[in-house]
Amino acid sequence: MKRSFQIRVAPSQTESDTIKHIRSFNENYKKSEQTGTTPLDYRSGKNHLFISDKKGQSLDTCATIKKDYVCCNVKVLKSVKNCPYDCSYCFLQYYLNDGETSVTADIDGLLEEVEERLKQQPWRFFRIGTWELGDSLALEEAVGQAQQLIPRFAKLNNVVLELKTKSDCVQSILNLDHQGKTVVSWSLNTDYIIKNEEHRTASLANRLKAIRLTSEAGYLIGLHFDPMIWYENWELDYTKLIEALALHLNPKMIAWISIGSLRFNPEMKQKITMNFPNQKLVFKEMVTGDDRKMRYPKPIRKQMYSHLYKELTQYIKVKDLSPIHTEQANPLLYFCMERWDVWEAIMGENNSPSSIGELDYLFAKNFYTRFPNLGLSKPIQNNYIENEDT
Amino acid sequence: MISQTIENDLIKNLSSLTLFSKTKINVNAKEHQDITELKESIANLGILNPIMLYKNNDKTFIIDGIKRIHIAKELHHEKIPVIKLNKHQLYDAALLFLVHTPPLSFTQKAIFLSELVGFGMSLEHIQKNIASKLNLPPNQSDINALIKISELPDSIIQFSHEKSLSFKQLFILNRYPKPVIELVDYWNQLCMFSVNQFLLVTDYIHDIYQETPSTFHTLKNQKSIRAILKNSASHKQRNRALISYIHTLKNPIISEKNQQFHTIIKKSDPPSLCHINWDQSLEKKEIHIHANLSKKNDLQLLRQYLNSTVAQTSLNTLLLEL
Repeated sequence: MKRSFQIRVAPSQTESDTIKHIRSFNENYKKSEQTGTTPLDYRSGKNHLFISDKKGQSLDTCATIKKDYVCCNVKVLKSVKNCPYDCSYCFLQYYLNDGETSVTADIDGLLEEVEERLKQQPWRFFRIGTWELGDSLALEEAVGQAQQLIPRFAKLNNVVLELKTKSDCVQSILNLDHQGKTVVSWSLNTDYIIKNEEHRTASLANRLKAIRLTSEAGYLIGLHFDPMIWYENWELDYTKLIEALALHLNPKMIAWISIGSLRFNPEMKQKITMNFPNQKLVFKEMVTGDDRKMRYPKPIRKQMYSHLYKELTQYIKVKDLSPIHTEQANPLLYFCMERWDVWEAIMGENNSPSSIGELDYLFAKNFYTRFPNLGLSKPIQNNYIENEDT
Repeated sequence: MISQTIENDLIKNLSSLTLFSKTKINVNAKEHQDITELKESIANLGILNPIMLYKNNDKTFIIDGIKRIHIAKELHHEKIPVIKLNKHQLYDAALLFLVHTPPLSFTQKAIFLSELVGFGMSLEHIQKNIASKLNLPPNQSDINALIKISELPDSIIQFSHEKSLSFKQLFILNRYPKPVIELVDYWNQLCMFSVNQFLLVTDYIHDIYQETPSTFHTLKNQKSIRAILKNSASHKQRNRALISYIHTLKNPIISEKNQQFHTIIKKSDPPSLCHINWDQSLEKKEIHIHANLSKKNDLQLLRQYLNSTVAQTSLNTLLLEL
């Protein structure tokens, strides 16, 4: 996606690789006179790009982690903020005080922090995503951040980088030496939802093509069916989605699969209604969970997850996708921000990890078993259980 | 300023048009103060200080002197002295009004700003010179949003002023479509909602309006709602019953499930000392059993119930469903 931005650059980053990339990408590149002192709103911030320093701590645990839920304990590297896309349900419209899009150009600084963290827990298998406050690849053509991160992660042990996207911007990463240490993930939804709610993102057809190209380049693929959204033809459409996916991706290349449903802070409701007057997402029946997020009532969520789970097991040709059965060498499937009882309702009694630590361990075990060529350390369950807060 | 006099006909027409009259919702607590002294003075000496007027298009507004005009009319004065203000003098009068008025609620601020706009004051002028006097952020979009609040129905304006709604609450209210606001306003007259109830009901009704417009259009004349409004003894009862009914309409799945669970538990016939509860949002897979043990055989009753097949089946079914 070719897009023009007003660009502002942190003084220390004027000669960074990111700026060199921007110059080569856009011959007419010119720094903006804009000073960056006035906070931009979420929408106009999408047209302004700040090439920033690394400020403070960039590596953290996913902000939604909560002990009430069986969370995956993924780590996040905050290297991008805001996103050129305009999904109606996106939490950034509520979350960002200053909407200016920013990309951290100090790759050395980011990697130093990652390496430091890896050293602290050499026994742990880390999954580190760059998607918490933006899309990992949507700006790739313009800024080339993933092109810098992928080869650096290829040299690290016990870690994979997760690039999560709704784009089809993969051309520039296909020929990189990734050593299997980068998982390229897609947030997938039905054609109807993509067209009506995920504005400016790549179409389903283009995302699927990108998935095929990326998996053919040897990258493992993450699949995130999140947020599942309830509408009149959801059942049939999610079936079609999995059928289409099956034509493009060999299940052996799937790193993991996550499933979640639409959820948002109550305050977001007004924002969404204001920013997207034609959407109907927020008017459905919803309940407020312990995390103060509104979501569909549990009977609806269970119905949606069961349907998708059934379709996925047929696609992958297995009876069971519970993460506790990793000896079957299946991709690991998990639910995002759900209690143990929802897991068991879908996967069967006693088929849910009992804690965040156990699920984290199961990720490590799954990867260790399925991808021996990554050279991961053999995971020890107690380490993960005892250190689930870290 | 040039002092003039105006004639009898105009005096009559002036009686209902007071500057910032809308803003003055409930602020003139001393409205009915004793005016005998003033009346005597006018009867003996006439009106000494000219009445201040401002003319905007075809309407003439009284800026200062409403009481004197009333007295002059009572005393059948045929002429009174007036000063007609120009736009700049009006702005000064606006600031003077703020100085002499108790702190305004957000609702009053909204009305005040809309009146200024109505008198031809530019948004820029309001932003620069008035916003800070009203403790408002000098942000034009906020000021615009506040001005639009004055378009709400009068009864809602009155309600939001009396209940001191915040800027955010007013802003949210003003975003709801007119039919939604009008319906909730109608119910509010009968049920006297608290602020939270009012906002909750409006939010629910708005969801119904958006999700199932056909249901929304039947609401005002729906039999069940009419019965609630007609048969409840007090506004509190009406209020509770209506909110509960609307909750059911808005949350059909949750309501139906909870109803099913109540039936399951009721069939198991728990002793009166035993209260069985669950998370009504159905999020937590938990059943809470509270027992009030006060008599000698209460424990035995509880044990009997929990050991019974019917109780175990019911509780297991409930747990499974949760």
